[in-house]
Formats: sequence, structure tokens, C-alpha cells
Amino acid sequence: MNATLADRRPHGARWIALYIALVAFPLVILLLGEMPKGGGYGWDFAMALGFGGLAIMGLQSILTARFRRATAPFGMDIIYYFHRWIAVGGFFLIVAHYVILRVGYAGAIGPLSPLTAPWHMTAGRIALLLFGVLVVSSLWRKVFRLEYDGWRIWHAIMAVAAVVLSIAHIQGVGHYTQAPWKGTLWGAYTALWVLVVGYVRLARPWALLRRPYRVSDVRKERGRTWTLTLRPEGHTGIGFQPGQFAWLSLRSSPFRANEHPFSFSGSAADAGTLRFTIKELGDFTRTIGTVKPGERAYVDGPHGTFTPDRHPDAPGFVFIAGGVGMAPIMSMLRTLADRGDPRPLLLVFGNRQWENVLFREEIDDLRRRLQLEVAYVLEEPPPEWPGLRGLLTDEVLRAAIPNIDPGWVYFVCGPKPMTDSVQRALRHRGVPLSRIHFELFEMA
Amino acid sequence: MRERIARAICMLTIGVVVALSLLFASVHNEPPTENAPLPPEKGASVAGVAASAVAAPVDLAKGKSVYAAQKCSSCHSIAGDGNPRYPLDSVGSHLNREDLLAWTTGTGAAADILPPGIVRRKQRYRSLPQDNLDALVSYLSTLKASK
Repeated sequence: MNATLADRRPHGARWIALYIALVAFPLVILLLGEMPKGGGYGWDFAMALGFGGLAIMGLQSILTARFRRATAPFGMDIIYYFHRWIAVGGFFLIVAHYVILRVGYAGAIGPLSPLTAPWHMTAGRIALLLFGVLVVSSLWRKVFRLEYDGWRIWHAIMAVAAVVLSIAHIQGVGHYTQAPWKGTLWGAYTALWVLVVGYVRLARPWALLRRPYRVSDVRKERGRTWTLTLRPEGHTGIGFQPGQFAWLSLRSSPFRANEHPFSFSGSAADAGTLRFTIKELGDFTRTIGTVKPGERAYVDGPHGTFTPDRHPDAPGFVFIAGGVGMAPIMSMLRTLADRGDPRPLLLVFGNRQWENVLFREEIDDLRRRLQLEVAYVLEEPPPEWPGLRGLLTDEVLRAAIPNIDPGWVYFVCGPKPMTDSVQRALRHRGVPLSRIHFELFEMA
Repeated sequence: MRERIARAICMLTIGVVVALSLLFASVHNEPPTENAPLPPEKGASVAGVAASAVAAPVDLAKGKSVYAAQKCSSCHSIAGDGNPRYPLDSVGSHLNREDLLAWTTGTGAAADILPPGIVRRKQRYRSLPQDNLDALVSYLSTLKASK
């Protein structure tokens, strides 16, 4: 096993333990001290589930607050993945809380109509509904054709509203938070959620505003793709590891939370300068070509664990890219070349057409500077194309990588169906999962 | 790989919540001890109400409707209907009319024993018309443990 993974495990484990402790905190408070009289097994079980479910929902904002130290051991993408699935779990706990009471204790929870129900019961029901809308609109955002920026704003508004209504619901019922010290602890705990939202929406944008960047170059690349070059203005900028990414705000104040994640494509050895290579794919990226040198930008980063720098002992690297998924790989290749890295490298690069092969000329140049072999795979090859053709299937990968060395480290970046199938193919050929790396972000 | 670990931690987190909830429910519902106030008595039932009808039937119906209108069942239960935490099934055996009124309106001993938030809530019932309170107390005094 690679040493780096083993080294960072205990570190990551501490953060996981902290997270679970924070989720369990309200239940532990409930268990401590003098207890109110029991209300029957099902009743108390349902109440506890409600607290636990809300704790998970309240902590969601901490998961996506992009605290760099806490997310570094895992990678930001997996934190978002976790955010997504734990939300489903938390929602089921809250649904269970409601269903147990609705079915078992209909008389106690009173009428459904907000006209006759006590306000705190209505608050709880609206919160339940909002949590449902949040989960459904997030898991199936694309199915409902929700535009990303609008969805993000509504996601934040609804999430805060749902949590606030839930807190009001608990306050209104007032049973478990009756003891003054429990009320205080519960208040401090919910204040933590509020503080995190305040940090994300106010403190961090403020910090970003004080470290602006300026676009120094906008360059057209092959295949409806653009490279932006950014230079720090009045500060030294950030360092990053090749393959990492950042949230980029263009033509928008950081306070408007209008940022989008992009991989760095430039060399990490090129201090101060940041490059992002962006394909026209979504509503935001379609406007990239109209950006002019001199425009202001804000960069929140670096983030991510998709980097060869976490594998200093790897004997060699295989890079498998599809289309604009080449951007972070390009950052890796440029950095390794600038560092004079002597290790053997193999690049498998899938594209539709030869004319659209991103960085084609520079890859030729990098071949001279690195121990780099390149296998291009084209879906629609020109006549007399000598190379591989088709998608990056198991069969094509066998031809592109005839000898699998399971000790090497594999970086895969491209559209999700591609990364899924490449991962399966590599697994079949004996590469351990711990040596296959890919970002889980979908490229909009 | 990382996805698998993330999913496992999801399950672990949910598992911890469910386990703690089960623990909470079982610690909370240990068999009642000798000095537990107003232990719920399983024998109490609506049948007991009919057997010991001290109040006039009209009063009883009115009392029930006050009980429903004031949503007493959000904190109390009678014959298993309502919030099981504070059952009133045998309350008529434990308390006389005067005490019942005090517990209903948050005065006297009730004001000292109950938490302040609950006392405030109960004191709101003082503003109910006197005959409604009387009817409610009459209804509650019919709730007796069956022998």
C-alpha cells in the first residue's frame, strides 16, 4: 500500500469521529441528566429520530462549507457525495419520526390543517415538506431541468428555512429542552449551524474579496474550449498541487455565491499564475469566450485530492482523460515536466475528432520533456487513422495499456460514464481501487 | 473506493442515530418505580368512565368537547388516544375536583411542580369560561382506574 494513504488515515478518521459526535450530540444531551417521564417506547424512539435527523440536516452546511483542513484528507468531491447521501438518510429519519407519530399517536399530533393546528406543529410539517423538496430537487436536478445557479440559491434558502422551522418546532413542543441547561446546550449547538452559514455567506466572501485576481489572458483552445489565465492582484496568490481545482467567481461578487468549480490546467511550478481550461458546456461556461483580459475574478481554493503529489512513491502514472477532462491531467503533465520528473508516464486520451484534441501540440512538446507515451482514441477518426478508435471500453483500454502494472497510480478524468467504465475495466485487470483516482464532480 | 467508504460512513452515522434513539427510548421507558408520580394504569378505560358517571351526561359531553377544543391530547392521552407521555386515564382516582382545576390551570401545587413553560401554557386556560372549566373538570373526574 502506498505510504501516503496510510499516513493520512488516522487524520481523516478524527474528522469522521468528530462528525459522528456532532450528529450524536443532541441525542446524548437528551440522554443525560434528569429525564422527563417516558411516553412509551415508540413515542420516545420517534422523538429521538427527529432530533437525530435534524442534527444531520443542520450539519449539512458544515459539510459543504469547504473547510480546507477538514476536507483535505478526503477530497472535496467525496464530501459533496457524502452530503448528498447523508441527506437522504437524515430525511428518512425525519420521515420515520413523522410516520411513527402519525400512525401510532394521531391524537397527540393533532390536526393537519394549518388553520387549526398549533403553529409549532405546522412549522414541523412545513420543514418536513421542505426537506423533501430539497432532497428531490437535488438528487434529480437534471431530470427536472433546474438551472444550476438558481437551484443553488433556492437550495440554500430552503435549507435554512427548513432548519429554522425545525428548531421552532422543537422550541414550540418544548418538552426535551425544558431543563435550562439542556436548553442552553441545544441553543449553543444550533448557534453552531448559524455561525457556519454566516461564515460561508459573509466571512469567506469577505476574505476572497480582499484577494482578487485579474484575467490576464483568454485563449481559444481546440474544441469550443477556452483557457483563462489569472494573476493575483496585490497579493502573492495561492499554491496548488497539480490536479486540484478551485471555485471561480467571474463577473460576480463572492457575496453572490455565483462561483463554479474548475480544475487548474497550468503548472503548479508556475508560481502565482493560475490557468483554468473550460469547455462551453453549461449556461455559465458558454459565456467564457466573452471574458476580456483585465476582468476581475475571485478564486476559492485549492481543493481536491486528485493529484500525483499525494503519491510520491508511485513508480509511474497512467492518465486516462476524455475531452476537457484533460485539463487537470494537463496540469499534472506540465508540473511533472517543470520538475524534471523522470518517472514513466502513459496518457490515454479519448476524443470525438482529431481536430478537437485539446492541447495536441503541447502534448507533442511534453513528450520530449517527459518519459511520456501517448495513445489517442478517437470516436470519429479521419480516414487512414493509425491509432485506436471508439470509446474507452475495456477492449480499447487493453490495446492502449497492454501491460497493466498494478503498482502504478491511475488518474481518470472525463464524463461520468467514461470514468465508470474505465474504473471497471481497470479493476477487472487487477488494479486495486486505492490506486485508481477520479473526481466525482460531474462536468456540467 | 472513496465512494464505498463514504457510503459506509453514511450508514454508520444513521446506525449511530438509530441505536442512540433505541437506547433513549428504552432508558426512558424503564418499568415505573414505586415513587413515580401518577403511574399509568393499564386497567383504565372508557368503560371505567361510564361506570362512575358522577357528572350529568350533558356535562360529560361538554367536558369532552372542551378537552378536544383545547387540544389537551397534544400533551395527554386517554385510553391510548393522544400523547402517551402524560396519560390521564386514572386521574379521577388520584385528584379531587379542586386539584384537577389546579393542575388544569397551572395554580397551587401544579405551579411548583411543573416546569415554568408548561405552567405558563396551562395558565392560559384560566381565561376559559367558568362553565367550560367546570365541565372539563367534571369529565376528568370521571376518569378512574377500573378496580
